[in-house]
Amino acid sequence: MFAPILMSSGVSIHLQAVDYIILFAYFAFVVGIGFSLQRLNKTSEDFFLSGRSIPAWVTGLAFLSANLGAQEVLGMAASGAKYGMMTSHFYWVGAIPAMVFLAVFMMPFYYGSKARSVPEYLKLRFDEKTRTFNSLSFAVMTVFSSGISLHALAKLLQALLGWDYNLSILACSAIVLVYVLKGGLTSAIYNEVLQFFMIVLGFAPLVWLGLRDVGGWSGLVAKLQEKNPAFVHSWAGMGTSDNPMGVEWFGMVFGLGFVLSFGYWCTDFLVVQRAMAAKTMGAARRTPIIGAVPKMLFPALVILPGIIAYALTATDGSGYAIPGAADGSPDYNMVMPSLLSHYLPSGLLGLGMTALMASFMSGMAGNVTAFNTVWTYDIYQTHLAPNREDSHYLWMGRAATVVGIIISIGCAYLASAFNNIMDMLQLVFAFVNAPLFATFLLGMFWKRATGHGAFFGLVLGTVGAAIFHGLSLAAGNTAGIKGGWILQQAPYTYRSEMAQNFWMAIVAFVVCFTATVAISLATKRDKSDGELRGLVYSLTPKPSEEGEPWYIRPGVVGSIVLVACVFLNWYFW
Amino acid sequence: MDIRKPIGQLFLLLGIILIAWGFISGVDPAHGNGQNLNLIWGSVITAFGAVMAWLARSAEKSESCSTTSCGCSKSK
Repeated sequence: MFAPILMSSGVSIHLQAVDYIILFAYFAFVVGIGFSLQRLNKTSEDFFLSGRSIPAWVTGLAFLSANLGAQEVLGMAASGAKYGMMTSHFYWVGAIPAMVFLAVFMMPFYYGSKARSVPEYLKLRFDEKTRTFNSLSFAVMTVFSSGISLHALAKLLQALLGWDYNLSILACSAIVLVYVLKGGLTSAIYNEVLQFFMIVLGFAPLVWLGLRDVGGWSGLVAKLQEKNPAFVHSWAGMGTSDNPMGVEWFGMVFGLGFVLSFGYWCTDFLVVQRAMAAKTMGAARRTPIIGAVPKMLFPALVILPGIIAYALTATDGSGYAIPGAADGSPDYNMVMPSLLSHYLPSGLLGLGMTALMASFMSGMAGNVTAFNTVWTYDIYQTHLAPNREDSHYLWMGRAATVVGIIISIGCAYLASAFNNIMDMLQLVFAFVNAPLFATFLLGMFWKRATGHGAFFGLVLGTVGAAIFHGLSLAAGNTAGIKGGWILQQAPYTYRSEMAQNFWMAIVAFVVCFTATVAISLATKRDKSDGELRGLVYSLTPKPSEEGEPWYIRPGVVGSIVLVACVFLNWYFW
Repeated sequence: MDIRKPIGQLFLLLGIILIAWGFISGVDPAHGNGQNLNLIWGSVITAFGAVMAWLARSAEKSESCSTTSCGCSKSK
């Protein structure tokens, strides 16, 4: 996920005593939850997988919340102000279908195989080298993401509240450290649930007051029709790439809706780990669906404020305008903070700022818990110290938490000093992530896929993404880190970076898929049907739903969610 | 531990702080078109916290009669 690097901007917020009381009360609770869970963490399974004991509604909200970092809150409001309703594609195309697919088709393999992590599933299904490739790239990626969100948070607090950058970094990482160290994954999950309600209750007043200001939904639509009709449609302008996003429908549906979305929601251990912590197979399968319901409604909370900000800016005498950056262009990332300060009196302002900080920190905690698990199980136990007693791995998990946070802090400073290094790293992660879903899809649904096929398919997909990037460029960018580094006169040009990214994902997926199939057919099968039982669709008995009421069957509820999602796409066409 | 308990306690606390602040500070002339937003929204949050705390409590009570694990309100 991309981190907006915030520039100093005109928005500043002055917090009063009551706001600080709210802030401290919240974080006292967060740390308190960590301490009260301490006694429950006796084995490594407790620490890394919550002992597989959590009810579905809790894992479901955590599943959603782990992804709902502050980057999303700030970024989606920014995107709403920039593109209008088209931003909803990130939800109704780029999330819901993949979440339902994970629940119905993929969770039985993750949960049923008793794999303790997503890379471990790759080991069971394919081989050691595929797992190691995935676990190493994932481990590096999570600590860097956590560092980037730490940097973004400290930068934001500095710009808005005038807090000291170093102090913000230290205080925030200390809080995350304490509650993850004490309570493990359970603590991270519980705090994600707390943060979910905090975000909803903290930002809802903004939507309420903003809508009231623009004359309700109908007033908003009328205003947009008058100023910029493209803002009220999600699909109408997508026949060609001649729209504000610069993406046409095929790139959107296949690039974002299929490759990137399924690659993220169905294979990223950060989110899948939440479902793995559920107490039964049924609960694990319900987790993504329970998360999908609020996810579907979230545009009202995070995109709508951005659209309202646009409408207010277009209205003379509204008293609000989207803040400008130093160079005079609109600073979309500051839309959400500027709305908070515009609409909320002290008290509610403290609540909103706490929600924003909470989402940054739980995003960081999510990365840290995923990192310590993959490091301990998939790297340390596998390669460095196999066959030790469980208490040793529990100790290592705690040590990895501390080290992971220290590396995150280092990355935050790296990001503040060398912006282009972080851009480069995010680019490399994008190359590695783009082909992933092809590997899982073939692994789960085609028993003939082999370990060599998977590994070299992934490598070739990654290389394919890099080559494509070197040959493509988005309008307005110069050759370099943004692409076109192989041929200055890039043969593939796009209207926007977003389109370039979507097409890069499509290319990586196709290369990985084709290469995996070809190499698998050329190599001997390395696992027998018996060994693949529980890991491949055709060799696994379907989970029994006999006697379960319809409203908890993943297939039934998942279909209802999909129908609702299609309806939303149609309604806001 | 039933997560609804700390959720209930936290939002009860935050709600009460907001209500109290609403009374102390009165209507903020710069925000809310003459309405006391802290009072209104503080009440909403207090109500949410109360519902969560009540759910956790009733689950705790029914748990003392059976041996179901924590957190799931649907356990019999």
